[in-house]
Amino acid sequence: MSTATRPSAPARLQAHRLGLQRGGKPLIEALSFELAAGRALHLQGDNGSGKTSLLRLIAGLAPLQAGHLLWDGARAQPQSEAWRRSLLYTAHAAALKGEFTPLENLRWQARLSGHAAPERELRDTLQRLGLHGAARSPVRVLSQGQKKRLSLAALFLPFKRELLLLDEPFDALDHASIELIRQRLRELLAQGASVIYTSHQAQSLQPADDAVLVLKPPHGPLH
Amino acid sequence: MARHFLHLLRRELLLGWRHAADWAGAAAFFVIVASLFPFGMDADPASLRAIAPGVLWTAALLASLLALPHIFSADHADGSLDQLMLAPQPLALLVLGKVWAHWLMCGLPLVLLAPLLALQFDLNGDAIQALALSLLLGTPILSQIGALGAALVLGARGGSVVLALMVLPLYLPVLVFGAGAVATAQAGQSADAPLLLLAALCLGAMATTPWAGAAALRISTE
Repeated sequence: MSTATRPSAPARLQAHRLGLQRGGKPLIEALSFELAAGRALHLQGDNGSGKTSLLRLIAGLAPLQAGHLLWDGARAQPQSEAWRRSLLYTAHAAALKGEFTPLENLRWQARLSGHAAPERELRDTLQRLGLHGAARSPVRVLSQGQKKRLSLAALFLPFKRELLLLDEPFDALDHASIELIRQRLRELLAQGASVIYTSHQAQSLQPADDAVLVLKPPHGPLH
Repeated sequence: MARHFLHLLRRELLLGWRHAADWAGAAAFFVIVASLFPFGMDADPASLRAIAPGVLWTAALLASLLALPHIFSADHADGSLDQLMLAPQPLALLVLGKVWAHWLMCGLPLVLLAPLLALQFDLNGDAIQALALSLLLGTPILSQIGALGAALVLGARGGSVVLALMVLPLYLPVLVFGAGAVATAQAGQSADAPLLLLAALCLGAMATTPWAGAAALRISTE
């Protein structure tokens, strides 16, 4: 198991000897890493190596089976309101409702995550993502790339998020969209957010700066 | 917190409105099943009155079951459930919102339709009133138990069958007290006791199932 650390900057998120089992086999074992504010960590590994499981574990969607997480030096409370308000998790699945328009999806996403966004902000976000032309169409008729862009729209809303967990954010995106998302993530990093992301494509946010963590399950990938 | 609950409820009702077939199907099933019996039996009013409480309540119970698998499965399939579970508010609130939406779209139409269907069975006014009241108190219990079951079988293969097998035995007390209230009123006696028992069950379910449902969701989505 690889361990990524950045001793030069004070750590915001610290993972200590995390462990996770799937199907009775250890998938993640004694994993430790640190991540500072304004830094990105690129999770790499084969299919089934536990990248998504690790993101879900940090988000609090799966329970910690071993080890612990520290946030600003204190034990992280993934079920707490404060943790959830400061977190943005985008999964591989787009989390969009095909019956809703992009604007409705974005509106409900913002409301249910506890952030009230003015209608103008929502429309501006769709415009920035090049989705304003499809604002009144149901999401089910959009292309995969458009759906992916919409699923990342929360990145563009003006809510303060301190930890971003992004599962394959560049999947199904064209070159221009990838650049748009990278640019936005760089802005958020500059504002002090910490980012952990997975990507099978050789994309990095800040090519010279991203830490890389390669996951290698002790008994091989889970298939 | 109340605002979050109302947002959830509005979202669910809006989605339900755009998927009307899921919910209208339950009401249609109730009407059809309850109407089959008067056609299938001899037209003796006394026989119809005797079977009415059990038939109407069983039809309502099965109709309520039809839409249960949809409570969490669509959100689970498209990834929305993860986002809902990461909302800053307690997860029990999500379960409560889903339960209320299920009841408003599936349970309430049964309450409103039942008095009309009762006319086919020649029930008297007191029995029809007891039927409406018992369904008003009983259908929320069905939604709450059903949501708990739906959370437990989420993502399981053959989940709909397992769900039915899991919740139907738990519906039994509701069926007994609900049908009992109608039969008692039809016999000219007070239906207060079974109705009060249904009210107690409803309050007990309200106090416990959102938390149990939240725990079940966490287990199912790990």
